[in-house]
Parts: sequence; C-alpha cells; structure tokens
Amino acid sequence: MIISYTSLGEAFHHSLLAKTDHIGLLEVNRNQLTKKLSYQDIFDQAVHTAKHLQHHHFKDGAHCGIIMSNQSLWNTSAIGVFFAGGVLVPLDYKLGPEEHIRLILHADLTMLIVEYPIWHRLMKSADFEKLSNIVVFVTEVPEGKDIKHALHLESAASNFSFVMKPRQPEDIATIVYSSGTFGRPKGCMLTHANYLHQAQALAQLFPVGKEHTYFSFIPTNHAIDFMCGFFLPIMHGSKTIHQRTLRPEFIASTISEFRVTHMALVPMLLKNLETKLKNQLSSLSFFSKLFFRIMLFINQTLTRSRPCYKLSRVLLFPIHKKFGNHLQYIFVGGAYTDPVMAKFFYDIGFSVAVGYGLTEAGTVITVNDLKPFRHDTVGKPLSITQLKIQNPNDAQIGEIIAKGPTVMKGYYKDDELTSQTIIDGWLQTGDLGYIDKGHLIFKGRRKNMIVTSGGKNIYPEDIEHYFQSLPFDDYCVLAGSFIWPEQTQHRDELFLVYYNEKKTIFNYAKAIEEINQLLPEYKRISYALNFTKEFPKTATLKIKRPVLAENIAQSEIVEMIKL
Amino acid sequence: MNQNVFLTIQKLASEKFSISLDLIEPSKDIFTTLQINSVDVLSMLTDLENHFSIEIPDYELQDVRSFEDLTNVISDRL
Repeated sequence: MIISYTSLGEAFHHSLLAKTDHIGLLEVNRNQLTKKLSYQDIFDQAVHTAKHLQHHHFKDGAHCGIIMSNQSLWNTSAIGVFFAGGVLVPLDYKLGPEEHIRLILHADLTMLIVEYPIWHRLMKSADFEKLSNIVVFVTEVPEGKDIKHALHLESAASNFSFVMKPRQPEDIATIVYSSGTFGRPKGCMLTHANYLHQAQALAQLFPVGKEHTYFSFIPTNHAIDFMCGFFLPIMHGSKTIHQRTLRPEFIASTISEFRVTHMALVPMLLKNLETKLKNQLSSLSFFSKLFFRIMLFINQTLTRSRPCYKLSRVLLFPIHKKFGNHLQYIFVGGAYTDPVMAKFFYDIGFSVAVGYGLTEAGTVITVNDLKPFRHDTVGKPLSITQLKIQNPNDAQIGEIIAKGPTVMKGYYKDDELTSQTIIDGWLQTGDLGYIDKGHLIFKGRRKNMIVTSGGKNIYPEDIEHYFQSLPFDDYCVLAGSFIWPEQTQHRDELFLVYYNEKKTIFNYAKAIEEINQLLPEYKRISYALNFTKEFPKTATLKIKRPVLAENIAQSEIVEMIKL
Repeated sequence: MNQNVFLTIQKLASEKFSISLDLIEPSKDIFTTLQINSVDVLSMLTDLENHFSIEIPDYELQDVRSFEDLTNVISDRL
C-alpha cells in the first residue's frame, strides 16, 4: 500500500530496490534509443545526485530546484533530492530566464539542478548575479563550455558519502508554482502525505504493472506527469519513456515502436491529434469509410458500459496500428477539454480519462473512471476527496470546493492567500460547476486567470503591464473563452480591450503588435478591441471583468481589429 | 544574414503554409506571419533540417521569433 510509506523518498527507495532488474526509464532522441535504465540504474543515479547535494552541505528540508526538459535525468535528480531529505521545487523549463530567477529567489533555493541550454540562457540574464550564492549543478555540458560558478552533475561522486534522510508524511515534499509569475507567485506546498494519498487513490482506479509503458510528454513539473509519469510507474514496476524532441513525427514513431500503453496530454495536443486523424479518415475511399463506420458502430455498442481496448484494437486495427497497437489510456487535464473531442477518442477505442484538478490539490480532484464513460463531465471525486458546490444558483451552479488528504499545506510565504484559499480545510477552487449523478460538470474558471487549451495558465496582469505606456484611458486583457464561453471560435485568443475616452489619435494595432514581439506565443494578443463606453467598475475602481465581457458579447458597437 | 538560407526558408514556409512570398520578410514574426503555433514551427524545422542535412535541437528555437532569427540558427549549423 502506497500510503504505508512515510515519504516519497522512502517509497522510491523501497520500490527501486525491490525490482532492480526492471527497466524503468527509456530515453529516445528522434529515432535513436539513447538511454535504457534499470531500476538499479535509477537508484544508483539518484544516490549519485544525493551524494553531490550532501557533499555540498545540503540540509534536511532545504530547497532544491530542477529546471529541465523531459528526460531521465529529471527523474533521477528529483529522486536524489528526496533521498537527501530535501524539498523539490520543480520549475517549468519553458519560462524565460527572468521568470526563472524570480522564482528561484522566491523559493529560497539553496541548490539548483539545471540542464545546460537553460543555464546558458540564465548566464546571459541581467539578473544572473543574483544566483551567485546558490549551488548549481548543470547537466550535459558540451565540452569546453564555461558554466561560471556551477558544477557538473555528472562529475565523480563515488568518494562522497550518502545518508538516506527520512522525512515524515506532513513534511513538505515539493513547492510547485502555477504559471504566471508577475504579481503574486503562488508556490503550492505539497506534503509527502498529499502525494501518497493521491497515488493510492489513482492506482486503485487505473492499475498499472510491469507490462505498461508511460510516454512522458507533458513537462514533469506538471502535476499530471509528476504523478502518472514519474511516481506511479516506479511504484508499480512499469516504465516511462522520454522523447528528447517534440517533433510530431518522432512522437508518433516513439509511441508505435516502444508500445506505449499510457500517456497524458493537454487538450491542445489532443486536438492536434484529432484533426490529423479526422483528415486521414476523410480521405478514405467510399468502401473503406463504410467499413470504418460499421466497425465504429460495433465498437461504440460494445464499449458503452466500459472500455475494452483489446476488442477496440481489433475492430479498429488501422487506427490503433498508428499508435503502436498498445495504447490503452490517455489522461487529459490541465485545461478545459472539449467533450465532443473526448467522445471521438473513446468511440475509436482509446480510454480518455478526463480529470479536473488544481496544483493546490495535487493531481486531480475528480476523474472519469470510465464506468461508464461520460464525455460531458470531468468525472467523479476521488474516493478520498469530499466535493461540494458552494452557493449554488438556480441552475445548481456554484463554486467548487474540495476537502481531503490531497489538499496542499498552503502557499509558500503567503499566509494571507492561504487563509483565503483554504477555509476550514475546504479548498476554494474559484471554479464553477455542478454535480450530476455523482459527476462534476465543470462550467468555467471564475477568476481572471486564463487557461489555454495547451494547459497554460495566464494571469492578465502578466500581460497587461506590458501595455502600460500606451495612451489608453482604460484597458484589460480578456480571453475569447471568457467573453463568449459557449463558442469555440476565439476560445484561446487573447483580446486587449481598451477604452479611449479622449479619442487620442494613435495607431494602437501597430503598437500592440510591436509589444507582442516581447511576449511568448501563448501570451500574445490576437485582437485589439475598442470598447466605446467606460468600463464597468467596483466601488474600489476595479474593473468588473465578467460584466465587461458580457457587454462586449452583447454589444454591436465594438470595434475589433485582428492583429 | 545568410541570404540563401533566408530565401530557402521563405520558399518552404510559403509553400507549406500557403502564404504569399512577399509577406515573409526577415524582421517579421514567424508565428503571426504564418498563423501557426509552435508545433507547426517544429514541423517546418524538420523540413529545413532535411533540406540542409543538419540537425538542430529543439531548445535552439526558444529565442527564435523572426525569420531572421531562424536564418541565423540554421546558418550557424552550416
């Protein structure tokens, strides 16, 4: 039983040494298998990391960050941090150097493990000197490259001593930051008990074993991959595979060649896959299409009450062959999932387990158990989680609140926000939904935060401050999904809504386009929207965004410019 | 900037994403000009690698925004 362990470190230690000959990690670069690690190898590499940390005086409960793209070194380094008794701070490798440095300092890291390309960018940052007191280990440094004060993680450590550091269930295991760093950093403190309970509950719903292979595609700092691709596989003797490139053609070949059985995707990637499959299906001959429709109907009928992938892969062999003929489960979360898309994949024989969760509650609060599959919901609460709808309206829609052993301890260095977010043990999610026959129907995020279908959280203030110098009388950033929640058009597009009372003559579109160049792709403004009335505001002059969105959706006098 | 490399990128991008050649200029942003996302850019990069017989790691794309940026990344590998 996973919850019989006292910490992640103990769980990894025991599981790795219980199955030393199992293959645990595979790493592929394009079409080449570059690493194949047994559980013994993983254990040895984790101890190597722990030795380095302890040799440099890493204290119990100290904070160590990891910034790497998905690879076996991420996993072995993280286990090393747990072995050394540390708190892991997994940072998103896709952030920019200034954001990385800001979070590194906020999290009070004493040590950092980082891959060379990211360290190279950090060294070029104007804030680089702020990292001078942190012990840094860099991985896979090309020969001859200067890494300033950092050390090579791969350097010999055989002479260093190692002491396994025990941790208790209520000790902090990780500090995980949600996306969006300007404004208030939200570092969720998750305990060892949070993870162990979450893992236990998920393992009961989706048992895995030695015969299973998980494709780690979503970044491992993300809650879904941390649990499904990092912790759970090792607990159950299965393996995880990493592909070092995100090129679609290599992703597809990896899934096929290595007989992937499980993977997790964010909705945007699933959408890309859906589009490709539908294009291929539409190009079939008349008789092939007819045959496919017959097989599809039989599969839909026979899997109505629960999935049967062995049957599905026979009935719909041509499609399943493209996925290596072994893919069973696709876990989907991190953002709104189109129910029609989820149903498409279920109908062609892939068990799409859509879930809902927040970093503040570990991986998931609810998940579809596929008994039977309901494409219109985000599933039922985990057996260990209580769920309530607070202040429901006439349609029974209200704020989703949750309580249970997976709810975080709080936000790091932010007691005020913690006390607003966890009230009497109930996590205030800020999301809206209602319950239907035990299933949660998710209606939308109540807060300003924008979530793209790629799973990116965007805080409007992150983007808005870039436009401060422009001569608006008022402005804000809204997502298309916020303005028109019932429509799929514009869903992921960002609108800069502005009010120009003084009728200042200014080329806003051009200015916004220039500022867009400074932003990462997923934060860029797609439309400038000239709202010709004053913004609705509260007594304290805060913009009433929902009201503004409603006005925009209903107004016929809004001028909208595509950028 | 290597003009030959840029012209190759321009032609390939124009054909792949059905965009007029004259819209693709060195200083222009790749994503907004071609109306594509990062997954599509990676796909284009593979086509360019095959054309030039080189390999470019994904992480070298992180700071690439303009066609000139992409031209320089490829030129550095020739």
